[in-house]
Amino acid sequence: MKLIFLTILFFLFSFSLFSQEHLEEKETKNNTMKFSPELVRAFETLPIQNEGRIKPLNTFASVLLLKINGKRTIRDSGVSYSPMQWLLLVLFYPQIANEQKIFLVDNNEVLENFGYRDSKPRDRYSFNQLLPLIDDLFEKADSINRIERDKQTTLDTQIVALASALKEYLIVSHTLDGFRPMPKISQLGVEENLAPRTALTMIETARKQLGSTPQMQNLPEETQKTVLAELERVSQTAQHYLQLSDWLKIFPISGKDEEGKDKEWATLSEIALAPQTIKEPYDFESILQAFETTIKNLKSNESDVNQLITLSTTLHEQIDHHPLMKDHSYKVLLEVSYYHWNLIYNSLILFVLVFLSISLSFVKPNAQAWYKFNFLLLTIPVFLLSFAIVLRIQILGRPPVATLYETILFITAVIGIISLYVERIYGNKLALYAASIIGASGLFLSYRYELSEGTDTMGNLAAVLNSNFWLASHVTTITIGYSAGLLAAFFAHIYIFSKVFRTTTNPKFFSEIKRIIYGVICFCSIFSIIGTILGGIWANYSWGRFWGWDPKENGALAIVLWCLLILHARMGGIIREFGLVVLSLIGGVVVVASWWGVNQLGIGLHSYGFTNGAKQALLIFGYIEGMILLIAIVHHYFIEPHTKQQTQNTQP
Amino acid sequence: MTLKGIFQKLYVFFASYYLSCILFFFLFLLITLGTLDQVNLGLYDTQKKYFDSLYLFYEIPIGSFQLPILLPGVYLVLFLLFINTLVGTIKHIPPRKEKIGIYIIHFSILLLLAGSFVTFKLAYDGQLTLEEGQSSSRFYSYHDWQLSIIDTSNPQTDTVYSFDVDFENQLNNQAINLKELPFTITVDDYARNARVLPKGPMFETKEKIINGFFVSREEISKTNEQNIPAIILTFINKTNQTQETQIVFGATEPKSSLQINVDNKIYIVRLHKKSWELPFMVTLDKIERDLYPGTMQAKAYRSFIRKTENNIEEKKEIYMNHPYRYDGYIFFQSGFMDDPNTNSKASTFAVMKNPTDHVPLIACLLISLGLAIHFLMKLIKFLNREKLK
Repeated sequence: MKLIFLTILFFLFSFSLFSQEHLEEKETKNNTMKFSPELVRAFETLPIQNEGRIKPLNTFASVLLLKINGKRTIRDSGVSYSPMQWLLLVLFYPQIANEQKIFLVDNNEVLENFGYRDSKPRDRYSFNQLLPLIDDLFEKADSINRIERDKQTTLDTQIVALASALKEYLIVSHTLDGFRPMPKISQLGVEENLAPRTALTMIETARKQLGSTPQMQNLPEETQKTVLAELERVSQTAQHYLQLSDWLKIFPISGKDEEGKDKEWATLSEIALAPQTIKEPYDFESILQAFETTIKNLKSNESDVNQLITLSTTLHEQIDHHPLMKDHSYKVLLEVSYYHWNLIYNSLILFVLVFLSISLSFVKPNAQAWYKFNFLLLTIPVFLLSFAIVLRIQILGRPPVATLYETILFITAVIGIISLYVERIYGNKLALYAASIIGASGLFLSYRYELSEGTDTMGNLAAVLNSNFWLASHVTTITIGYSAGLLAAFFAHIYIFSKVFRTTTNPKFFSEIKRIIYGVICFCSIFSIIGTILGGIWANYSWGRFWGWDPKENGALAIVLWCLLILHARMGGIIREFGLVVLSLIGGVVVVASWWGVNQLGIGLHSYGFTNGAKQALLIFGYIEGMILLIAIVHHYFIEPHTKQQTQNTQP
Repeated sequence: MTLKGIFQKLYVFFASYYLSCILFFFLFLLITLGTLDQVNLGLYDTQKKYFDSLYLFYEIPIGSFQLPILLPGVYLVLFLLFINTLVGTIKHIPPRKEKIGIYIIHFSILLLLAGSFVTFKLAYDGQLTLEEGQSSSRFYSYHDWQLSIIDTSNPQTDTVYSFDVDFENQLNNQAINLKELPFTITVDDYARNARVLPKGPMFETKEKIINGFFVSREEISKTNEQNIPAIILTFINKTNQTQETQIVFGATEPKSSLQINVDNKIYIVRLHKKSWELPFMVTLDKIERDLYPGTMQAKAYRSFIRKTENNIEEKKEIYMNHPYRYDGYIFFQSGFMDDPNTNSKASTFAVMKNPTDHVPLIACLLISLGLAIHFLMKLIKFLNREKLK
């Protein structure tokens, strides 16, 4: 498999130089293209089978662009491109796409390593700019990949990431080369810019004719052999060109293979080279003709739109009526809408707006209308986020929490909902404040995580996780527990900051926070206990033991124990208000350690949660929380009594 | 102090919230330390050190010196927590209707702890690997090793004497003396992970050379299943006190073995993974692996097995999250092997005999019920109070 991949890469790269050169000769030097919304819509709703699931072409474009570019839009020469617009450019106008500065390099040392000078500390580069470095870069990335993961430096990881982005771009940008005229590749007359499929037909005819013609028979045996060998070489080259589209599994194939697996979808090369193997009612000739005609007639101007629309219409006519799409068409459309509506990003912006509005409202604390406005404003991002989660459930056909990314969305939404409820009861703005800050932070984290992973967030689940019952029961329960633990810790922060900075001395204020914290800790306890035991029962069904001291299991148990410690310490009168606050603050650290920290250990069965690069952020978080704890203790035991004493002394 | 006074003090001590909090804290601490130490020790050794122990020494590095801190083991803490929960429930929770939820929760926790104790003491587990078409009624432990002496003198049947080998507590020169055997055995030395190598002329070794071979000690793997032990045994003839020293190398299955001749009788000596006989035969008819299309990522595994008992066959399916339970044994799909060279497929089943298999589920249901009752009552009370305000 790896060999095939390397071969394809070598091939792609070998031909990248001259095929670009060739295309540039033919097409105009115009370096922008505009695509109509109708055209974009037609292509982004095309379903493909990719990474084991059916997804819209738009999702593929979106994930790839995010991975390469660090964001989902690009702006070039005053024109901004959505992921699908960009993919159209890469597929149909690679010579323009190659000039776009889309490869994000976070650290200029990456390029300087390969002799590239004058780079900014963080910048984007075009494919053509990086082309001279590509050989060395790939070689270096291969040697880094042979080093154990935990021994790789940050620079190593960045080099590998850039090489990986370039490889993926190379593959995608050459997808349709099988429909472009081939450059001069033979001494036998196949030098007239023939399309590979035409070349193959010609070669086939030539072979037949050569075998029977007297001219051929009269040639010396050696010459006959040379001619046949040359024909074989040209034929293979033409086939290679067509096979460059092999990643694009675009034609649904029903049924299961001999091993009982869902069949892989057909590619353009299979349709061109082995149509007899596809037992589906596709009009092979129309499809191939549509691609060839479209690509042949592209002029890099607005007249191309009609050509491309015709192509997309042909594809939709062939694909949309396939029986397999009956169950998937609406999911494909939903997924396109999910990315279009950008619910997560919009929620993030709204959470920030709520935060700003609440912060400003402290200028006029008693303005009821403003308070109601803030309350209503907060419901919008909470609703949007919840709606995004519901959409994901619909698209994926499974419960909402199965990956680390999904836990972030779910936890943020749950915190939002609990906060709205708490605010409804207490009405003191604190829960609104908490929800807006945690909401914005959570969604920012989800964005950073998505970016760092650079993969489809709706990916497949490991076999053991393929259980809707346990995902719905154990995982959701435990993450609700996480949410409550984090919220309690946040209120503990508000308590401590209010005490330390003396924002208020009203005992009712602190008493209310204490009550909120206690209520939320009780809530956290319920869900953590039930979630942890449910996890044990699941483990008993899947791994044969209730408890295996796996890091993730231990993390969940740690939260349970910490909650029980708080509840029993309070019941026994061992802690009072301040003790509750301090322990809840530590509880937040325990939740974060359980949620993210144990993943950094790189051991255990819960491998779905392993992440890279979060270690440093977690350590910084730990230090900050430690400092806050220290400040709280010093203030409570040394500064506050002293201040009270002074206040009493000054009173008459 | 009178006996009653002592009991009174013990009662107060074991019922105290302080003790609860201390125990919760220690559990929290041990679990945190144990989780972190898994990176260095691996799961098996961590479990032995932190979770299955009464006490342990945690070493804090101070420069080049390691400061040992005595800590209770999780086993001890859970035992104390059981008593604390029991006595504390009796003392602190008044027998009133509104406390019924709390009673149920605490009772369930006790049930869970008691169930865990029974599992710890009585349950055993191992694995059974079968290729398609293969049958077996024996499953093998993941971690435990046994030394077996097989008397082959009776042509009708072999007599097997097996001893559990505890590498943690195995003492050198420990003697094994059975009246049925004409020799005693002393354990001269052992290595938890080893290779047995021939001593060549080009190198020296400090290890004992026995019949041209020596035990080469390998680094202990964090994945304990990968450790293959070796033992040096001396067999002492009870009649004439003659001695014979041999190396016995571990084999995951009882294939390789050592033969010794005592009083003209042949004895086979094997060091092998502990195994248990099932009261029925299991045959793997077929295994299926479903991959996500176009990837090598598994979507599901499914094994089709046949259980044969008293010539009666029963067909069953085992797949992820759907084990097969029979006669107190539970079979789980835990592994899949596909050898494209030989075109053979094999399934590994985790096999467990656990008398308290369903206790966690019962406890969870009860805890959920208790929590639901208690917090609903609290919520109603709270909402009523807020309404009055």
